[in-house]
Amino acid sequence: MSRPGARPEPFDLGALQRWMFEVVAHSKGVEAGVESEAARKHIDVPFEQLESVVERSKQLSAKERLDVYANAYFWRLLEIMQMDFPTVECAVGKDLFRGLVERYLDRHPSKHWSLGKLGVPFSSYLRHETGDLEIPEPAFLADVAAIEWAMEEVFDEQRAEPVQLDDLLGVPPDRWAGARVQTIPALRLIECGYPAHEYIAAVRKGECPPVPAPKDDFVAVYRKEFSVYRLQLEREGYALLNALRAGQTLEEALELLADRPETDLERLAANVGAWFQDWASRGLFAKIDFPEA
Amino acid sequence: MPIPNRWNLPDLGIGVGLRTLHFSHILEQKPPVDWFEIISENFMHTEGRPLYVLEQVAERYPIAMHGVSLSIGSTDPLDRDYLARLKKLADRIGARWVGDHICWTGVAGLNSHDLLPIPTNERSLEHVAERVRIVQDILERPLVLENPSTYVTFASSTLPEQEFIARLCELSDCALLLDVNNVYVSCRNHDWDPQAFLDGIPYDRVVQIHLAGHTDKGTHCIDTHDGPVIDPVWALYADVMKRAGGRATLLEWDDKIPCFQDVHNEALRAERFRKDVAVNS
Repeated sequence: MSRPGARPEPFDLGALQRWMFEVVAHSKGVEAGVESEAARKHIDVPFEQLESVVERSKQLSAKERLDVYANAYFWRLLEIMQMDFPTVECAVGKDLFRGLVERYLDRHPSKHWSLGKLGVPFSSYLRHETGDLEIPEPAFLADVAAIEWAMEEVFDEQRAEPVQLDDLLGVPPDRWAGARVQTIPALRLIECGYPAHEYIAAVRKGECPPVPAPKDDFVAVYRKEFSVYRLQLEREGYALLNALRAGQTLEEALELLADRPETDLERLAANVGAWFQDWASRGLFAKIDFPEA
Repeated sequence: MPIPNRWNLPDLGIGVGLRTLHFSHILEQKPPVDWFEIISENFMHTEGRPLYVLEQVAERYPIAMHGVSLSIGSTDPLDRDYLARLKKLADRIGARWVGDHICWTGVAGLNSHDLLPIPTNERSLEHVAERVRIVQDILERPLVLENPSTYVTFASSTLPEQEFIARLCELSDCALLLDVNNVYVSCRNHDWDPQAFLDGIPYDRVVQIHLAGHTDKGTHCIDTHDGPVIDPVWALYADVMKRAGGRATLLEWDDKIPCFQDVHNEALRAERFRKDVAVNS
């Protein structure tokens, strides 16, 4: 039997934590969170009896005190998404971006200790889970988000000493066919259906252009020393670099490309040497193994 | 009378947080700072520039690691991958100590990325103490835990926070990072007496002090780390210095961050109180 004025029996700590998480992370606020089925599954307390769980202070009600955590939860995560995806925010505007993030956090709450992982599924979310929203061209936004996320990833990727262009210039032409390339870890190759690379460049110059018309776009995102760069590739260059990155020799990669109907063989033949030099000068290769002479 | 901490961890002097905004200044100017504290997680997931800078800084200055994602109070299993990365980084940079907060950050596999409060009762105490012991075994060093700023209290709490902290230290043999700004903020938010709070702190466990600015909303305070330290917090710091003696002291400034020299100058205001202790001891 409890004494008058005695403290209530403590809730199970796990139940209290699950309840509090549901309450402070609820997109409709603390009251909706307390009343939600998800929260009441853990602690079945209606909003009017909130103070049986969380005490009031002299100045603030229990709800107002929980608001501090609820507000911090959303604004902290929104700020991270704004930093990671500034071009997406520019394309849709601040208010719509906020709404997109609110629903994103509902569907894809953070599961990792690092805030650096918060944006992992954002591009996929924009492409596949926003069809019912009035946003401009989800596929375009998804392309932009994919490039912006790649920029985040390569910033933190492992370091690797790149092969120097000068080391490659003296290699006899006949040894190149069997060459096997290892690209640096800090490289991502992205195929887009919109000119997302140009759009990002414009936004970073302070412009906010309208959504562009669809157009195939091939982009490499890479880090050289500690700076992140984007490089527009031609279709054939993108396919070649992708094949090399997958472990094929130069000869195998070129044969594969030659079999594809969309490959412009003349352009490929005319440019492959220059592309290689360009990629090497940008430090995209960590290692090149040549066959025994 | 100043008392040493029981691990004889050094009084590193007056330090500041290592923040991205100041990387270039620190590498180029090599300012005369006693030591730096890092947010552990900012360097645990990267092999890029942040880690490169940290390695340079660690060659010149002592570094203490202070995390925000250990989630020592959570009822989820401890994240072994996180702990392995934490230890690897600590070993890599020769961290003087490794710390985090008395809080939980997530549950059911989800992460709030906030320092959420623990109800201070016997059940929580046993739960947290057990986890601290496990973490210390994994890290092979004492964990330096900080009293967080909190904004709610629970009806199920039965112990004053300072008693919870003192008993946690005793049960788990952990060390304490006493954040005097958090003492001020929590006492304001919960109508507690800061002197009573400080009376309950086991000073032989304190190896580090935090100072910071906060935002006073009138009805409550928020630990925003976005400005200078206010006088009542300096007064608490002076009180702690008298009770504990010299302790590694760090100023946190994480929002609206001014130039490095301004941050360092604000931190150096602590010197006066430390000198007073030295003179009186």
